[in-house]
Amino acid sequence: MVNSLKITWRVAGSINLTIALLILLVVDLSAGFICLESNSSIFIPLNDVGLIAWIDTYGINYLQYTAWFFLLLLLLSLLAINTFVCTTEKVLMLLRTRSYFISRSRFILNFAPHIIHYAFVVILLGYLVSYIFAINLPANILLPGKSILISGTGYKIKLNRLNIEYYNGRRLDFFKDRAINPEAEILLTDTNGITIEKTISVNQPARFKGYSIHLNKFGPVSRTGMQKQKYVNLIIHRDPGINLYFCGMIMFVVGMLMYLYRWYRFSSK
Amino acid sequence: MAGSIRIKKGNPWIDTYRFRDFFVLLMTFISQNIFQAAVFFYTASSIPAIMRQKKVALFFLGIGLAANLSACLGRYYHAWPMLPLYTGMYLLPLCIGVILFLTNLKNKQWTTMLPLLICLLSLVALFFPKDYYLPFLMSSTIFSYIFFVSGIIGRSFFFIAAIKALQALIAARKRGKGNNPVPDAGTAGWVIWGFVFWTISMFAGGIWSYLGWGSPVVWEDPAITTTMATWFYYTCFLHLYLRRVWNLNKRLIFASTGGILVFVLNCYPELGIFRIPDLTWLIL
Repeated sequence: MVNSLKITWRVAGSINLTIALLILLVVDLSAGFICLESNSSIFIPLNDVGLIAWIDTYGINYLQYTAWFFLLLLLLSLLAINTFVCTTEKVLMLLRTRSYFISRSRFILNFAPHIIHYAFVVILLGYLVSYIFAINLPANILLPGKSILISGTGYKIKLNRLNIEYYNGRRLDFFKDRAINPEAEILLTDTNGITIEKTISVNQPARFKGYSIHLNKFGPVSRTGMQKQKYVNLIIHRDPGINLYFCGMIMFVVGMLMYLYRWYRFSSK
Repeated sequence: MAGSIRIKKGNPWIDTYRFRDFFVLLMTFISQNIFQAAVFFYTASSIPAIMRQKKVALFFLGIGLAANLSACLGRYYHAWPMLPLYTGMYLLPLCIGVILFLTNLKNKQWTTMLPLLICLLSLVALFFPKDYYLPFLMSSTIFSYIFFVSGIIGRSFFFIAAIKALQALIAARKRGKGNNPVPDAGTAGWVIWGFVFWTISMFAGGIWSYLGWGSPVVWEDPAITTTMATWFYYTCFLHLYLRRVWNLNKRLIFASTGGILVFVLNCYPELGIFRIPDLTWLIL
């Protein structure tokens, strides 16, 4: 039993498995490009409904276009296991040989590739948590002065004011009289009646009680033509995996910088 | 008229415009036409490069790069603070050229293939343009620029690595050493830098996507798959290189194949249909 576990552990962390998985991922993702290019509408709801519901509906029903995605999930899972096992083995080995290192900084810098590998696993975990547990409310249309409830909560959002700056220069000719800088002032109320005012804009979401509120669309986008009612269309998102994802990203960058420093310092000597 | 400068009085066409308007027109002209001049000089530099005329090749390449830089600045000028779409193929030859100037001039070995690669890439960009899409408001963030520029720098490093690997393979074959180890011409170093920039690009793209759409992965754009495929390919190369899984010859073949892969996965989707460039500005 112990022997078979050891063999499984060794195979799971083998470098040959890493190479095979990486090559298969390249092939699978290239096939994915072809499927996604002509059928992106099948994949767009993935962010809205979550992984499980998507598999049950789009994933199963359009298997000829989504098979690559299922294979991608499998390969990424195997790669995550392979990375974790291989890295853990290397880290344990490094800790055992700690006494051989004269310089402490050199010892620490040797962790660089392992930090990168663990970061990769954390990022994948972040994605998985996002796709399974995230709540996405894609279309929340608000008119000035009106409020709506965030579905499934007692939180309210009210659009206080929508300020749209229109472009009137000559440099961006195609943008003449079109909205260049929309700013929506929203009022957020929790279940206790406590209100907070936030300003959101394009690429500038607001955070409230674990939710992120993104300005997706707004109107009117042009000040010429028929006068239209002001509105905003918000994406409201609760993503428990996003912090894990960003944490992995920071870890990856730190590991990469450490690796580059080690590479520069020791290869120049 | 406060803040306006009249230029060249007497010319009725220019006289009606203020200096700022003239500058806008000038930048429009530059963004639309100067890339053709860049391609001309790149082509002119590739011929002496093949004939090992280093100084002549560098001279033409330098002019080509200046023209290419102007064309790119012109495009950015007409899109800022948004991102000009599908301009990667215009920035790519410039980026490879700048890297070549910054790194390779100190070396005695003059790379003939890189000016040729720059020339070919610029010709492809010229004849298969796709930059007629207008910029969109969501791209007005620093992360979209990091995503784009870092991706192009990464791509340039991968191309250079592929060329270096190809050169090392040709040199080995000329020496008739067969499967014996050959100098790798620093291929791995180029790949490492490419990988670093590619990763930064992916992360910046993830942040941009989260800020704009609420998720670090947006499935609207199929380029997500090719970006990931490229990342995994070079992750594979780095594992092959650092763990010495394959011999050097095979690793070099893998690196040089990477150039083709980068072109197919990342450049080809950015190309439009074949179009004859408009050269009327030369006649006028």
